[in-house]
Amino acid sequence: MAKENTEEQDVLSLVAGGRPRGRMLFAALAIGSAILLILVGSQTEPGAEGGGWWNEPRNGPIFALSLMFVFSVLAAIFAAPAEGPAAKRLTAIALLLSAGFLAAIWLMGLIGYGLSVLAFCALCAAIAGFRGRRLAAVAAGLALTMLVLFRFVLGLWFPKAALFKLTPWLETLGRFL
Amino acid sequence: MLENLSVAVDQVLAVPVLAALAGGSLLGIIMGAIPGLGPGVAIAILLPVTFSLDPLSGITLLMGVYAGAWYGGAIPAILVNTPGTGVSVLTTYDGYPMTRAGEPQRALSLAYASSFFGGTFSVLVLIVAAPLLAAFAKKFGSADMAMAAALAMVLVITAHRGAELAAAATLCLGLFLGTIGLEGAYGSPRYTFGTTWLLGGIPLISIILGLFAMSQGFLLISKSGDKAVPVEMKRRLLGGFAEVLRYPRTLLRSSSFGVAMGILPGVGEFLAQFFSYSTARRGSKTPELFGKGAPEGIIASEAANNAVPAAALVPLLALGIPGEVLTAMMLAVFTVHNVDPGPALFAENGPFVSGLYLSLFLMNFVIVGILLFATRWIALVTRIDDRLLGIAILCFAMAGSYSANFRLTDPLIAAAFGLLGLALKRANVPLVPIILGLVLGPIFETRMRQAIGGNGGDLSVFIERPISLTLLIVMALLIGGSIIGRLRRLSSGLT
Repeated sequence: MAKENTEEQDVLSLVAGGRPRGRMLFAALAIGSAILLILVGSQTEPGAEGGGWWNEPRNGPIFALSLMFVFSVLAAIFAAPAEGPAAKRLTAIALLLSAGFLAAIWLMGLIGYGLSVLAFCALCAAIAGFRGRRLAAVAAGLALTMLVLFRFVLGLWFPKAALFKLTPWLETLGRFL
Repeated sequence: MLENLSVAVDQVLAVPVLAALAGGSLLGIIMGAIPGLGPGVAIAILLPVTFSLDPLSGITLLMGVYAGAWYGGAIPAILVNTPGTGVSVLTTYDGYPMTRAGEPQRALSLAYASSFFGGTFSVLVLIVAAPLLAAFAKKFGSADMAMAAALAMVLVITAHRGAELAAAATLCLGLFLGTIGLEGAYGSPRYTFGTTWLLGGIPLISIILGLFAMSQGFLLISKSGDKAVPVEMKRRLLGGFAEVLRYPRTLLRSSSFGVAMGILPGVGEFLAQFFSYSTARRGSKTPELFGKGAPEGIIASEAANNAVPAAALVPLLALGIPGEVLTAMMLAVFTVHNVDPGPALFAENGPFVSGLYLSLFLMNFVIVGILLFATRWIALVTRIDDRLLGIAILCFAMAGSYSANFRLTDPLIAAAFGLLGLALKRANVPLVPIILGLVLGPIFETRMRQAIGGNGGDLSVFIERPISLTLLIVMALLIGGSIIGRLRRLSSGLT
């Protein structure tokens, strides 16, 4: 019986996900919720007089933020310690990819969807460790796939990029990119 | 009855619905078969696409992905000992030993057959249970609906055993995010920081794309490209459909677990799988074979998993309350098309409901048909380099987040939630409660206002109404049980 219970615990630990880590994460959530709670006066407007306490616009955020603060503090107390350098490397990669993601979207207004996606795919492929011809093949292949899928199969519209307004032949090219 | 069936056939035979049925099923199987992806990522990416489809095609597409992924997740679990989706973990226990014993076709066939049984059983329960629950839900007042939404939130938290505090914190984060923008009573802005782009609230699409798709993209890009080589298959896969019938009790019990856990908000596949597997082992004549290639182990895991998707639609269709994250995403499709799920859905949108039932039923046949025909080719996708998948996911997220409104703020929100999702995943913190808090929060707030306002500001309405009082008692018991469980684990030094 005892053996069976241990086996069940093993199975449960596999499907339940395990104990959360990262005290700093919960501490940040607690601090964030506290700051937002302090701002409740400036970020919400009072309801009309005689409108009833239950209709006050600030009730919802106060309820959610107060509970978030309490649970984040408790979660921080009971959380396991965070991970080491591997997690920092991953965070750095994610930050770099996010910056590239936003830059590529900003670039769409200048050079169009196709070229932006090509630049973004090249950045991602370089970060993922592809080099030389493989990098070029991965970036071009994925960018072409996305272009065909979104522009031709799904017919997704994007605002015309500044580059394609320069000359008539660029404008023609811009219809496909 | 026959009239309903005729309406349903008309609905489902429309080309967009058939295309959604076949395309969603195939895409779901492929996404499930690729370890590390799964239906959450696929649905997050597809959600913006479904807004341009009619509601039945949109929901059918997403349900095809949802159900197909649970079928497809068994392929790498059985062939290369790597679960395609999180819910296929227990399938590796008995599926992979069977493959090592030279019987991969038998294992796959058993998995498909039990999934098929669980899936069709679940649709039949949906057809019977949803209208009954909807009819009962007509008696629900605002106080009862508010407490039903609150119960769903409590269930979501208590289902994350060992991580209840983290789940509660992230659920409250979702609740707060749901309050941002213009509120309902006075139309005044909340936490918009003087901007106009936050007046409509934080876009759900951006949050979903960030939390589920982008965070997974970041993880995949940082992985190495090495993959296990799948086993080659030559024989046919029909044998399991006869073999599962030798275990009728396991099949029926596991499917029932899946249905029950699917209907209960916040519980879902993981606990269904756990209860089903451990009960099957206890009830087996050969418990010593579990973990070494027991057919009952595969049946228990797969029948339970695949009974969940259709059952998870019961609370969404009957009450308008999504029980888990994938149906919460589907609620967005209903909202975009001004279809209100809840008791009135069955009266006002009968053809839609009939069509949905039939498409869900047919979906299991379509998925099994695809798997019987194409498993050997689908198995090859398990070899695709994770890094390529990661880059593709980020490109999909780029188009999905930007094309909704063509403003930079939406991708910015998606990227921010991508980073948050990554941090939460690395810290083993559940992401699902954020989305459920975000979706359930406005329902809860609106219904609370209506209930209290309708009773002149008196809170006693929640204990005067029998349904509301019952739900309150259930919540109290769940919270009490969870606290006692946590204290016990603390005293035994487990957490």
